[in-house]
Amino acid sequence: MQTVSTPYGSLDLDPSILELGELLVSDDGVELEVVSLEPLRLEPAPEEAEDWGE
Amino acid sequence: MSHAPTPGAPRLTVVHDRLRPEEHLLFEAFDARGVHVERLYAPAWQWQAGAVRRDGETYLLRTLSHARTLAIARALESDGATVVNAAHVIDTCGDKAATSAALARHGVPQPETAIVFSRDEALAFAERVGWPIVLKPTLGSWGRMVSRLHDVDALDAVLEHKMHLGGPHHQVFYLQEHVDKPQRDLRAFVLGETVIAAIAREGSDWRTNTARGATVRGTPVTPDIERIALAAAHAVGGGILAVDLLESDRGLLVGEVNHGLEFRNSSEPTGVDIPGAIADHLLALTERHAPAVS
Repeated sequence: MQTVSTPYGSLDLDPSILELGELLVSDDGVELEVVSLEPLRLEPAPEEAEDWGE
Repeated sequence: MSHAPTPGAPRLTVVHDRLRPEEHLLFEAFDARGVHVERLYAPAWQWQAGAVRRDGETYLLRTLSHARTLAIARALESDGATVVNAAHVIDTCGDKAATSAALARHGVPQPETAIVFSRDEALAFAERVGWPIVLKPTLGSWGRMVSRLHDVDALDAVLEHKMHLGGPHHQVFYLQEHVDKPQRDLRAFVLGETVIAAIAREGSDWRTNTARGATVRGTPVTPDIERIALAAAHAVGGGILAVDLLESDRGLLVGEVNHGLEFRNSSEPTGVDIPGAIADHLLALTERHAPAVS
Protein backbone atom coordinates (compact mmCIF):
# COMPACT_ATOMS: atom_id res chain seq x y z
CA MET A 1 0.00 0.00 0.00
CA GLN A 2 1.08 3.54 -0.56
CA THR A 3 -0.41 6.87 0.42
CA VAL A 4 -1.08 9.24 -2.43
CA SER A 5 -1.77 12.91 -1.79
CA THR A 6 -3.97 14.85 -4.18
CA PRO A 7 -5.48 18.34 -4.06
CA TYR A 8 -8.72 16.55 -3.17
CA GLY A 9 -7.43 14.58 -0.21
CA SER A 10 -5.24 11.53 0.38
CA LEU A 11 -5.76 7.86 -0.45
CA ASP A 12 -4.16 4.61 0.59
CA LEU A 13 -3.92 2.38 -2.45
CA ASP A 14 -2.06 -0.50 -4.03
CA PRO A 15 -0.86 0.68 -7.46
CA SER A 16 -0.32 -2.91 -8.65
CA ILE A 17 -4.05 -3.67 -8.69
CA LEU A 18 -5.38 -0.34 -9.94
CA GLU A 19 -7.37 -0.27 -13.17
CA LEU A 20 -8.02 2.55 -15.58
CA GLY A 21 -11.50 3.92 -15.04
CA GLU A 22 -11.68 2.73 -11.43
CA LEU A 23 -13.33 5.05 -8.93
CA LEU A 24 -11.63 5.79 -5.61
CA VAL A 25 -12.71 7.96 -2.72
CA SER A 26 -10.25 10.25 -0.96
CA ASP A 27 -10.25 10.86 2.78
CA ASP A 28 -11.99 14.17 1.99
CA GLY A 29 -14.84 12.22 0.44
CA VAL A 30 -14.07 13.20 -3.15
CA GLU A 31 -14.61 10.58 -5.87
CA LEU A 32 -11.54 10.28 -8.09
CA GLU A 33 -11.19 8.35 -11.32
CA VAL A 34 -7.94 6.60 -12.27
CA VAL A 35 -7.16 8.22 -15.63
CA SER A 36 -3.52 7.13 -15.97
CA LEU A 37 -1.48 4.32 -14.42
CA GLU A 38 2.04 5.33 -15.43
CA PRO A 39 2.39 7.89 -14.12
CA LEU A 40 -0.49 7.47 -11.71
CA ARG A 41 -3.02 10.24 -12.23
CA LEU A 42 -6.35 10.69 -10.46
CA GLU A 43 -8.93 13.24 -11.48
CA PRO A 44 -12.21 14.27 -9.84
CA ALA A 45 -15.01 12.16 -11.29
CA PRO A 46 -18.12 14.03 -12.35
CA GLU A 47 -21.21 12.53 -10.76
CA GLU A 48 -23.26 12.59 -13.92
CA ALA A 49 -23.37 14.23 -17.34
CA GLU A 50 -26.37 15.05 -19.47
CA ASP A 51 -25.96 12.25 -22.01
CA TRP A 52 -24.75 9.56 -19.64
CA GLY A 53 -26.87 6.52 -19.11
CA GLU A 54 -28.01 3.27 -20.49
CA MET B 1 -7.37 -13.51 -12.84
CA SER B 2 -5.79 -12.75 -16.19
CA HIS B 3 -5.47 -15.03 -19.16
CA ALA B 4 -2.94 -14.68 -21.94
CA PRO B 5 -4.46 -14.39 -25.38
CA THR B 6 -4.41 -17.57 -27.42
CA PRO B 7 -2.34 -17.03 -30.57
CA GLY B 8 -4.66 -16.71 -33.55
CA ALA B 9 -7.78 -16.44 -31.37
CA PRO B 10 -10.39 -13.93 -32.46
CA ARG B 11 -9.90 -10.66 -30.72
CA LEU B 12 -12.53 -9.24 -28.38
CA THR B 13 -12.15 -5.84 -26.77
CA VAL B 14 -14.26 -4.13 -24.12
CA VAL B 15 -14.21 -0.35 -24.54
CA HIS B 16 -14.95 1.50 -21.31
CA ASP B 17 -14.39 4.67 -19.38
CA ARG B 18 -15.53 4.73 -15.76
CA LEU B 19 -15.78 1.17 -14.47
CA ARG B 20 -19.23 0.40 -13.11
CA PRO B 21 -20.22 -2.85 -11.41
CA GLU B 22 -21.44 -4.07 -14.83
CA GLU B 23 -17.97 -3.85 -16.39
CA HIS B 24 -16.41 -5.70 -13.44
CA LEU B 25 -19.10 -8.40 -13.72
CA LEU B 26 -18.40 -8.76 -17.44
CA PHE B 27 -14.64 -9.05 -16.87
CA GLU B 28 -15.32 -11.72 -14.22
CA ALA B 29 -17.57 -13.60 -16.66
CA PHE B 30 -14.87 -13.66 -19.33
CA ASP B 31 -12.27 -14.70 -16.76
CA ALA B 32 -14.54 -17.54 -15.61
CA ARG B 33 -14.63 -18.78 -19.20
CA GLY B 34 -10.86 -18.58 -19.50
CA VAL B 35 -11.19 -15.98 -22.23
CA HIS B 36 -8.79 -13.11 -22.67
CA VAL B 37 -10.44 -9.81 -23.51
CA GLU B 38 -8.59 -6.63 -24.27
CA ARG B 39 -9.59 -3.55 -22.31
CA LEU B 40 -9.59 -0.19 -24.00
CA TYR B 41 -9.89 2.88 -21.77
CA ALA B 42 -11.56 5.36 -24.09
CA PRO B 43 -10.15 8.60 -22.59
CA ALA B 44 -6.62 7.35 -23.33
CA TRP B 45 -7.39 6.27 -26.90
CA GLN B 46 -7.43 8.05 -30.19
CA TRP B 47 -8.78 7.00 -33.55
CA GLN B 48 -6.93 8.03 -36.67
CA ALA B 49 -8.97 7.95 -39.83
CA GLY B 50 -7.96 5.07 -42.05
CA ALA B 51 -4.81 4.24 -40.05
CA VAL B 52 -5.57 0.58 -39.26
CA ARG B 53 -7.90 -2.21 -40.34
CA ARG B 54 -9.81 -4.12 -37.65
CA ASP B 55 -11.48 -6.80 -39.76
CA GLY B 56 -12.44 -9.82 -37.69
CA GLU B 57 -12.19 -7.92 -34.42
CA THR B 58 -15.18 -7.47 -32.10
CA TYR B 59 -15.69 -4.55 -29.72
CA LEU B 60 -18.18 -4.31 -26.89
CA LEU B 61 -18.86 -0.66 -26.07
CA ARG B 62 -19.49 0.13 -22.41
CA THR B 63 -18.77 3.86 -22.31
CA LEU B 64 -21.17 6.07 -20.39
CA SER B 65 -21.70 9.03 -22.70
CA HIS B 66 -24.03 8.60 -25.65
CA ALA B 67 -22.02 11.02 -27.81
CA ARG B 68 -18.75 9.29 -26.98
CA THR B 69 -20.14 5.80 -27.55
CA LEU B 70 -21.62 6.73 -30.91
CA ALA B 71 -18.37 8.35 -32.08
CA ILE B 72 -16.36 5.28 -31.08
CA ALA B 73 -18.80 2.93 -32.79
CA ARG B 74 -18.65 4.85 -36.05
CA ALA B 75 -14.86 5.00 -35.94
CA LEU B 76 -14.39 1.30 -35.25
CA GLU B 77 -16.96 0.26 -37.84
CA SER B 78 -15.13 2.30 -40.45
CA ASP B 79 -12.03 0.23 -39.64
CA GLY B 80 -13.95 -2.98 -40.40
CA ALA B 81 -14.65 -4.07 -36.81
CA THR B 82 -17.83 -5.66 -35.53
CA VAL B 83 -19.18 -3.33 -32.85
CA VAL B 84 -21.77 -4.22 -30.22
CA ASN B 85 -24.03 -2.41 -30.31
CA ALA B 86 -23.75 -1.18 -33.86
CA ALA B 87 -23.54 2.56 -34.47
CA HIS B 88 -26.98 2.78 -36.05
CA VAL B 89 -28.47 0.99 -33.04
CA ILE B 90 -26.77 3.37 -30.60
CA ASP B 91 -27.91 6.30 -32.71
CA THR B 92 -31.52 5.11 -32.59
CA CYS B 93 -31.66 4.04 -28.95
CA GLY B 94 -29.80 7.12 -27.66
CA ASP B 95 -32.40 9.49 -29.07
CA LYS B 96 -35.94 8.93 -27.84
CA ALA B 97 -37.41 10.62 -30.91
CA ALA B 98 -35.45 8.26 -33.16
CA THR B 99 -36.54 5.29 -31.05
CA SER B 100 -40.19 6.29 -31.33
CA ALA B 101 -39.83 6.74 -35.08
CA ALA B 102 -38.27 3.28 -35.42
CA LEU B 103 -40.98 1.69 -33.26
CA ALA B 104 -43.71 3.43 -35.28
CA ARG B 105 -42.15 2.35 -38.56
CA HIS B 106 -42.29 -1.28 -37.41
CA GLY B 107 -45.71 -1.09 -35.80
CA VAL B 108 -44.42 -1.73 -32.28
CA PRO B 109 -46.85 -0.47 -29.60
CA GLN B 110 -45.74 2.55 -27.63
CA PRO B 111 -47.47 5.26 -25.60
CA GLU B 112 -49.13 8.05 -27.60
CA THR B 113 -46.09 10.09 -28.56
CA ALA B 114 -45.53 13.41 -30.29
CA ILE B 115 -42.61 15.62 -31.22
CA VAL B 116 -43.50 19.31 -31.23
CA PHE B 117 -41.58 22.56 -31.41
CA SER B 118 -43.92 25.07 -29.84
CA ARG B 119 -46.01 25.64 -26.74
CA ASP B 120 -49.24 25.71 -28.76
CA GLU B 121 -48.62 22.30 -30.31
CA ALA B 122 -47.63 20.87 -26.91
CA LEU B 123 -50.90 22.17 -25.50
CA ALA B 124 -52.85 20.70 -28.42
CA PHE B 125 -51.25 17.31 -27.72
CA ALA B 126 -52.15 17.50 -24.02
CA GLU B 127 -55.75 18.41 -24.83
CA ARG B 128 -55.97 15.47 -27.23
CA VAL B 129 -54.50 12.75 -24.95
CA GLY B 130 -55.51 14.31 -21.62
CA TRP B 131 -53.55 15.55 -18.63
CA PRO B 132 -51.11 14.70 -17.23
CA ILE B 133 -48.60 14.39 -20.04
CA VAL B 134 -44.95 13.39 -19.85
CA LEU B 135 -42.17 15.53 -21.28
CA LYS B 136 -38.81 13.82 -21.79
CA PRO B 137 -35.49 15.09 -23.10
CA THR B 138 -34.65 13.25 -26.31
CA LEU B 139 -31.17 12.51 -24.92
CA GLY B 140 -30.44 11.15 -21.49
CA SER B 141 -31.28 8.33 -19.19
CA TRP B 142 -31.97 7.26 -15.63
CA GLY B 143 -35.18 9.32 -15.60
CA ARG B 144 -33.22 12.55 -15.64
CA MET B 145 -35.28 15.66 -16.51
CA VAL B 146 -38.38 13.59 -17.21
CA SER B 147 -41.39 15.66 -16.16
CA ARG B 148 -45.00 14.75 -15.50
CA LEU B 149 -47.06 17.84 -16.26
CA HIS B 150 -50.54 18.10 -14.79
CA ASP B 151 -51.75 21.37 -16.29
CA VAL B 152 -50.98 24.23 -18.61
CA ASP B 153 -49.15 26.19 -15.92
CA ALA B 154 -46.68 23.37 -15.41
CA LEU B 155 -46.28 22.94 -19.16
CA ASP B 156 -45.57 26.65 -19.65
CA ALA B 157 -43.03 26.73 -16.83
CA VAL B 158 -41.03 23.75 -18.07
CA LEU B 159 -41.11 24.79 -21.72
CA GLU B 160 -39.96 28.30 -20.84
CA HIS B 161 -36.95 26.89 -18.99
CA LYS B 162 -36.12 24.55 -21.88
CA MET B 163 -36.43 27.28 -24.50
CA HIS B 164 -34.21 29.74 -22.64
CA LEU B 165 -31.72 27.50 -20.86
CA GLY B 166 -31.43 24.36 -22.92
CA GLY B 167 -29.20 23.49 -25.88
CA PRO B 168 -30.50 22.63 -29.36
CA HIS B 169 -31.82 19.20 -28.46
CA HIS B 170 -33.95 20.76 -25.71
CA GLN B 171 -35.84 22.66 -28.40
CA VAL B 172 -37.32 19.36 -29.58
CA PHE B 173 -40.22 18.65 -27.23
CA TYR B 174 -40.78 14.92 -26.92
CA LEU B 175 -44.20 14.32 -25.37
CA GLN B 176 -46.01 11.20 -24.31
CA GLU B 177 -49.32 10.34 -22.77
CA HIS B 178 -49.03 9.43 -19.11
CA VAL B 179 -49.56 5.67 -18.86
CA ASP B 180 -51.31 4.87 -15.61
CA LYS B 181 -49.09 1.90 -14.87
CA PRO B 182 -49.30 -0.12 -11.64
CA GLN B 183 -46.34 1.58 -9.83
CA ARG B 184 -43.93 -0.52 -11.83
CA ASP B 185 -42.56 -1.11 -15.27
CA LEU B 186 -41.04 -4.17 -16.85
CA ARG B 187 -37.65 -4.62 -18.44
CA ALA B 188 -36.70 -7.38 -20.84
CA PHE B 189 -33.07 -8.24 -21.53
CA VAL B 190 -32.56 -9.12 -25.18
CA LEU B 191 -29.46 -10.78 -26.60
CA GLY B 192 -29.76 -11.13 -30.34
CA GLU B 193 -32.95 -13.09 -30.97
CA THR B 194 -33.47 -14.20 -27.38
CA VAL B 195 -35.12 -12.63 -24.35
CA ILE B 196 -32.96 -14.06 -21.57
CA ALA B 197 -34.71 -12.52 -18.55
CA ALA B 198 -37.23 -9.96 -17.39
CA ILE B 199 -37.59 -7.86 -14.28
CA ALA B 200 -40.24 -5.65 -12.73
CA ARG B 201 -39.04 -2.34 -11.34
CA GLU B 202 -41.24 -1.10 -8.51
CA GLY B 203 -41.07 2.17 -6.64
CA SER B 204 -42.94 5.02 -5.09
CA ASP B 205 -41.59 7.51 -7.65
CA TRP B 206 -43.70 7.51 -10.82
CA ARG B 207 -40.41 7.16 -12.75
CA THR B 208 -39.57 3.57 -11.89
CA ASN B 209 -35.87 3.77 -12.67
CA THR B 210 -33.52 1.86 -10.39
CA ALA B 211 -31.36 5.01 -10.45
CA ARG B 212 -34.30 6.61 -8.62
CA GLY B 213 -34.56 3.92 -5.99
CA ALA B 214 -36.92 1.45 -7.65
CA THR B 215 -36.53 -2.09 -6.42
CA VAL B 216 -36.14 -5.05 -8.74
CA ARG B 217 -37.77 -8.44 -8.77
CA GLY B 218 -37.68 -11.16 -11.37
CA THR B 219 -40.73 -11.74 -13.51
CA PRO B 220 -41.43 -14.52 -15.99
CA VAL B 221 -40.76 -13.89 -19.66
CA THR B 222 -44.34 -14.22 -20.84
CA PRO B 223 -45.17 -14.72 -24.52
CA ASP B 224 -46.33 -11.07 -24.65
CA ILE B 225 -43.10 -9.76 -23.12
CA GLU B 226 -41.07 -11.90 -25.50
CA ARG B 227 -43.03 -10.84 -28.56
CA ILE B 228 -43.01 -7.10 -27.85
CA ALA B 229 -39.40 -7.00 -26.64
CA LEU B 230 -38.12 -8.83 -29.71
CA ALA B 231 -40.20 -6.61 -31.98
CA ALA B 232 -38.74 -3.52 -30.31
CA ALA B 233 -35.20 -4.87 -30.51
CA HIS B 234 -35.70 -5.67 -34.18
CA ALA B 235 -37.12 -2.19 -34.83
CA VAL B 236 -33.99 -0.46 -33.51
CA GLY B 237 -31.58 -2.81 -35.27
CA GLY B 238 -30.98 -5.55 -32.71
CA GLY B 239 -28.06 -6.35 -30.44
CA ILE B 240 -27.63 -6.46 -26.68
CA LEU B 241 -30.54 -4.40 -25.40
CA ALA B 242 -32.84 -3.71 -22.48
CA VAL B 243 -36.42 -3.02 -23.51
CA ASP B 244 -38.55 -1.11 -21.01
CA LEU B 245 -42.23 -2.00 -21.11
CA LEU B 246 -45.27 -0.31 -19.61
CA GLU B 247 -48.39 -2.26 -18.70
CA SER B 248 -51.50 -0.49 -19.96
CA ASP B 249 -55.12 -1.27 -20.73
CA ARG B 250 -53.99 -1.54 -24.36
CA GLY B 251 -51.43 -4.20 -23.46
CA LEU B 252 -47.67 -3.80 -23.23
CA LEU B 253 -46.21 -0.57 -24.58
CA VAL B 254 -42.52 0.04 -25.23
CA GLY B 255 -41.19 2.90 -23.11
CA GLU B 256 -37.64 2.89 -24.36
CA VAL B 257 -34.88 0.65 -25.63
CA ASN B 258 -31.50 0.90 -23.91
CA HIS B 259 -28.25 0.09 -25.70
CA GLY B 260 -25.91 0.41 -22.71
CA LEU B 261 -27.83 -1.73 -20.29
CA GLU B 262 -27.16 -1.91 -16.60
CA PHE B 263 -27.82 -5.24 -14.93
CA ARG B 264 -26.01 -5.19 -11.58
CA ASN B 265 -29.23 -5.81 -9.64
CA SER B 266 -30.94 -8.14 -12.10
CA SER B 267 -29.11 -11.48 -12.05
CA GLU B 268 -30.05 -12.43 -8.51
CA PRO B 269 -33.80 -11.78 -8.74
CA THR B 270 -34.11 -13.44 -12.14
CA GLY B 271 -31.78 -16.36 -11.45
CA VAL B 272 -30.16 -15.65 -14.81
CA ASP B 273 -26.44 -15.02 -15.05
CA ILE B 274 -26.80 -11.94 -17.24
CA PRO B 275 -23.09 -11.03 -17.54
CA GLY B 276 -22.35 -14.68 -18.31
CA ALA B 277 -25.03 -14.75 -20.99
CA ILE B 278 -23.64 -11.53 -22.51
CA ALA B 279 -20.13 -13.03 -22.50
CA ASP B 280 -21.37 -16.21 -24.22
CA HIS B 281 -23.31 -14.19 -26.78
CA LEU B 282 -20.26 -12.08 -27.58
CA LEU B 283 -17.97 -15.08 -27.84
CA ALA B 284 -20.33 -16.71 -30.32
CA LEU B 285 -20.48 -13.45 -32.29
CA THR B 286 -16.70 -13.13 -32.23
CA GLU B 287 -16.28 -16.66 -33.58
CA ARG B 288 -18.77 -15.94 -36.35
CA HIS B 289 -16.91 -12.81 -37.45
CA ALA B 290 -13.39 -14.20 -37.13
CA PRO B 291 -11.47 -14.40 -40.39
CA ALA B 292 -11.37 -17.88 -41.94
CA VAL B 293 -8.13 -19.75 -41.27
CA SER B 294 -6.61 -21.11 -44.48
